[in-house]
Amino acid sequence: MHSSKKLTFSLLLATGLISTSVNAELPVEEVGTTTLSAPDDHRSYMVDFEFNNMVSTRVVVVDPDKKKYLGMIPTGHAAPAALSHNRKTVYTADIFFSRYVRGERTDVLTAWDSRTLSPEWEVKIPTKRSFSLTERFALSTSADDKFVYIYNFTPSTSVTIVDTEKQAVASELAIPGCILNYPIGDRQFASLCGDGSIQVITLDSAGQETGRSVTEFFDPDQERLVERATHVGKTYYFVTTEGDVVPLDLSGDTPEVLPRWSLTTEEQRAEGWAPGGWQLIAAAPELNRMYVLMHPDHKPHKWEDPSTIIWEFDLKNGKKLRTLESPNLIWSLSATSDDDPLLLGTNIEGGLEIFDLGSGQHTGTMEGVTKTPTLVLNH
Amino acid sequence: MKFLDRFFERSSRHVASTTGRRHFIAKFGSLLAIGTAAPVLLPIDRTSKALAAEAPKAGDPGDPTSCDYWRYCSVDGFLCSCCGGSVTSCPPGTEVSHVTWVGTCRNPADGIDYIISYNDCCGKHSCGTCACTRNDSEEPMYRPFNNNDINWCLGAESNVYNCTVAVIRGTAI
Repeated sequence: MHSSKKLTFSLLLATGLISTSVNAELPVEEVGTTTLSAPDDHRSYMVDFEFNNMVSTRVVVVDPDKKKYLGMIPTGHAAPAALSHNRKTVYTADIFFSRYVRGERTDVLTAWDSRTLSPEWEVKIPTKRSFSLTERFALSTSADDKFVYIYNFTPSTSVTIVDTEKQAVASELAIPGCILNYPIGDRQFASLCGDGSIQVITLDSAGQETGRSVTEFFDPDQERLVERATHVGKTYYFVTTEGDVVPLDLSGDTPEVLPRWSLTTEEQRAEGWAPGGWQLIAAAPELNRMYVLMHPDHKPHKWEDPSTIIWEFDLKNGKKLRTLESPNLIWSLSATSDDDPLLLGTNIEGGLEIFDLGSGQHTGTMEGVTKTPTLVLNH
Repeated sequence: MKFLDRFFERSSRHVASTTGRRHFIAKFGSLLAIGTAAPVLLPIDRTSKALAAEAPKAGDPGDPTSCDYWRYCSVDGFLCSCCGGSVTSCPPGTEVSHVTWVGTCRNPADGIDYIISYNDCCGKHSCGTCACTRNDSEEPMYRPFNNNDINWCLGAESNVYNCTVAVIRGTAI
């Protein structure tokens, strides 16, 4: 062996010995399953409609502070989802067919543990669950988590009431001419009606109807009021496609329509500024602020189009505070309910845009975590 | 290009007009009868399982596999013309839902506003080709029969959505 080859061989041998001595043999491992901690204030749930295959959809669970994918919940046929107020449960209203796309239809409300992301229990519900682009108020929970309200569309409309303590259907209430269920406190929900009224149904502790009121709300012949509202406590905020905010106080015995205000000045409206998107508004309750996806070049047919521009408003006085900009088009917004809140936006490539509302800064994008996200849900 | 970019893309050739909802509502009661009686109008097509010709017809301009086609002014879904069906015919093995939503679209050839029913084809999952969303005459969901965000496979044996056809049902004028 030549001296140079000897040297090389010696070096290789030495390197191998050093390597062996530094990297001790790895221990035998055990395989397991991750359990999440209890949801913190920023835990976020992305409802994935997956337009290219709505049979097999999902809710993706993420930590937006760490930009970390935490897990997912498989759902049936573009299921709406809702969170319990005690943060222990994620509800989904699933549809299944016995032969994937055909056969017997079964609708169930599924209760998922928010730490294990496994189903805890389910109950069969009437095979009427609405199947649409996911609406935030197609599935909701009473403030005390006793009842879950499920919106049905056949195209007759009704609401199925599930008692979560008994894990059983309590009732099904027809809401003819009206849609969705906007929860109010422990025993009421509202529905928005095609004649421009708001209907409020009151329940007893058994989930049976004890009262129903109808209040004139808006004029559907004069304007289009987007049904995808947001709320702070029992005050709901709707926007019209032209940019008016229509607040509705549902805390009293009968609904009170509060004075409306405009997102835009007359000049801005003339320039073409108007709201648009899917869940196009969100409220941060601790800041008492609302966030709106805005279009600079709005046309009536763009009322459901995404945008990169978000305007922030003070709900106390309707004053515009800031403009937030996203690097990608956002279709739906949600804000967390703590006093150091985040604003989350689903971008149209399946990612999540994250804004810190203290600084107003965009802190990053979680790219490609879903296919067709329609909503973000927060505790 | 990513799926949703295409989904929201609209061509500069977008020519369909928006007809006011009040105008539509005011005319709805009589439009079908007027539509069938007026000799200068296009015929009222009916959905069928027969194969339909997709070649451009006189008075019916445009490409039925393109989102720009005038009849698609309020469509939201996959175009059956790209999925094995046609503009009036569901793809093989799917079932037409006869419960549907309607839109009002202006035909650029004759300037007439037509009532278009957007029947969903059902029983197989998403076609996945030619996604197209245009909301020219769409109304919020409290007017469900003018809303395209709903899966309208409600009048079919299986409620699973495959694609959407666009069928002339009459005129709005």
